[in-house]
Amino acid sequence: MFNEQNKVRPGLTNVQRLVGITTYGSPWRYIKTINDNGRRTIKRALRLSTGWGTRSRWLPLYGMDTLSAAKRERFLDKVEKVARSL
Amino acid sequence: MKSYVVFCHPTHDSFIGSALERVLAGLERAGHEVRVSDLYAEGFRPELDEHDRKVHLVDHRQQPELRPDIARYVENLRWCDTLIMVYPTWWAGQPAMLKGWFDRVWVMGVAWDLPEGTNRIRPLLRNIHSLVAVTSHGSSKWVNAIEGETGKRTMTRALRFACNVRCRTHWIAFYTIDRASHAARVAFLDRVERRMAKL
Repeated sequence: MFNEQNKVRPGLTNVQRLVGITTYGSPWRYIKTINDNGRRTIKRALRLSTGWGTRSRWLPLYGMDTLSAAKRERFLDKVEKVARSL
Repeated sequence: MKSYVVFCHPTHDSFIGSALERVLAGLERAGHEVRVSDLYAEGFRPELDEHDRKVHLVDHRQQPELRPDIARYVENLRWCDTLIMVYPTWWAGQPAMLKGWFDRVWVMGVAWDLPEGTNRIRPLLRNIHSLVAVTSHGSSKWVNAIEGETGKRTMTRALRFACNVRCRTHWIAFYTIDRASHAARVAFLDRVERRMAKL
C-alpha cells in the first residue's frame, strides 16, 4: 500500500509469523560473503509488508552437498520440532 | 569490446525500456560490438522445472542437448567481455524472469564447475571482465539498505564470482523512482548513456 506521501506501508499486517526453511549447496562462509540474499529477502524485504512486529524464523542447511546423512537427518528433525512448536 | 545486453522488462514504453535505448546509444558511441537478449519478447521460460532439476549436476559442456533452449544464451555469455543487465528491481531483487534466467542459464559447465568431493564452486565465465547493472528502485536508498540490498549483492558478489577474478562491477541504479521528478528521471537516463560510453 502507498500512503499520502507515496511511501510504501505494510499491507499484510495479519501475518504474525514468517518461517523460511531452505537448503544451500555452498558452505556458510561462502553464502555470507555473497550476502545470504535468501535470508535477507525473508527476514527484511518481506517484513516491510507484514510489519516489523512479525516474528521470523530462519531454518537453513548450509553446505549440504558435503554433509553426512546424520547431519541432514538432524536438520529434518529440527524442522519438525520447530513446526510443532509454532 | 564485446557487450552482451540482457533486457528484462515486459514492455518497452517503460522507464527501463528508455534506459535500454540509452544503454544501446552509449555503447554505439563507444564503438562496442553488441548483442541483445530481450527475455520477455523471446518468451524465455524462467522456471527451473523437474527435468532441469534432474540434470542440475550434469556438465553442460558434455551434454548440451539436455538443455536445448538455453544454447543461444550460453553462446552469448561465452562470447562477451562485458555483460550488461537492464531490469527493474522488484521485491528488493531481480524480476522472477531474470532470476530464472540465472537459475537456468548459469548452470554447471557454463558459469561454474563443482569438482568431486567439494562444495565450493569454481568460476567458468572468465571471459567476462565487466559486469554492469542498470536498474530502478521504487523505494529509497535507505529502505534498500535495511532490506540488505539483495539485488545489488546478487550482481556484485554472487554473479561476479562466476566471472573473471579481476571483473569490475558497475552498479547504476535509480532509487526512489516513485517520488522522483521528471527532471531527475531525465538526468538519470543521461547518466546511463554517459557511463556506457565510458565503459
